[in-house]
Amino acid sequence: MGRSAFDVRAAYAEHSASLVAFAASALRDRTLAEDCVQEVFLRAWRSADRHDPDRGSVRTWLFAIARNVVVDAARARTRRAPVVADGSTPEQADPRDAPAAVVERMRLAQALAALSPEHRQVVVQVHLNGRDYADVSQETGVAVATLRTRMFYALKALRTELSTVDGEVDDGGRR
Amino acid sequence: MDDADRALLAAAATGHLDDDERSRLDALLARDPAAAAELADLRGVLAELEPLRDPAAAWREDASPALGERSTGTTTSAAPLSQLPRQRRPARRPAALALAACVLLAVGGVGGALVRGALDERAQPAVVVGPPGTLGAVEQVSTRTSDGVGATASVVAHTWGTETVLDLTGLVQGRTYSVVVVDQSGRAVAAGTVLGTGGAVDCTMNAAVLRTEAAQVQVLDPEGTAVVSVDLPPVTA
Repeated sequence: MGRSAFDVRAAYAEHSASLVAFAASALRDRTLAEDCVQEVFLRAWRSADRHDPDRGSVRTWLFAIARNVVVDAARARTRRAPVVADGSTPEQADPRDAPAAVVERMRLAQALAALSPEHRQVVVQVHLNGRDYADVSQETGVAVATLRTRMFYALKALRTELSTVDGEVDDGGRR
Repeated sequence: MDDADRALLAAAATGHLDDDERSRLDALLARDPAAAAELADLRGVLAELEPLRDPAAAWREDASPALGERSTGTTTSAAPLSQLPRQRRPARRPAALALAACVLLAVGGVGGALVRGALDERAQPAVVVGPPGTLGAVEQVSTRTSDGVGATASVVAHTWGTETVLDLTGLVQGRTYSVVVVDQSGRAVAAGTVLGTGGAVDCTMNAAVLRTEAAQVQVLDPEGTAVVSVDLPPVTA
């Protein structure tokens, strides 16, 4: 795919929200995640000539770039001394921001991103956000029974995705 | 197994069964051995997702600013997948959040772990004492809190995880706070949530992290900032 064939604005409109959610879940920092996604599209635009659409979708390609960008951001963050009130150095950084923890959340978030929007929605709302099926049903208009069946199939799909992405992120997102 | 059975298993896995449905689940498990395996598999996937239940790591697909428009603050009209009121957080209040996280004041005055005897089922003083990690013993731990928040904390090691006993004050009324146990790899496992009352909050939470693996307990405000932090002594025995 050449630059002329890679419609960066269309790709941004279609995938940036998922990419920001993915990066924010991994990094626990939405502003940093948004910066990362800008970097993802910059790298994508620069390397559009090297992308072979026969080897995967634009979404897959962008997430592959995002894994690298997120890991780089996590490592850079650990090298920066956090700002503290009295100018002293904090005793210990939050272990959830350690690169290994970021990579683990990235693995989970990537599997989540691979689900269909409907499957992802029920997992996010019910399990991650702790809402009742009835509550989600009222908001979406989808029957509770349907949401529960979706949850079943979503979790089965996640099982498959988690097995798939295990090998992809073992090296910190570099393939 | 039909879709009704699958729906039942999904609801069981996520903990949303009523009494009638529990009876139906029991019947399903009794007549179909494969159903139990399916249920275990579903629960396994949900457990694996635990690190994403950290409020700061919440999955949120908001409309994203169009390229080049971030600096102007204009946004696209693309609809989010779904958005909850409690998910709507300010993008970041840089200095305020950073400072809040860092202005953690040492309180509690308990130097190191002090393990006390627990109460047994008859509310009699038990003889369970020992070093950190002793099953069933109450381990009082030191806390660090942000300004205006008070906390005392104990943890109890169990075979199924770590119980956290918290006495909290200063939590803002109506706000939802999350309690997480962070293991040694940095994985935060949700122990539960509490609503601030403006007064004292005494609560007991459980997390599926063994005490031997647990490194920290944190109480996080809705923005994900730790308002209470507890560094757990390593289990050496």
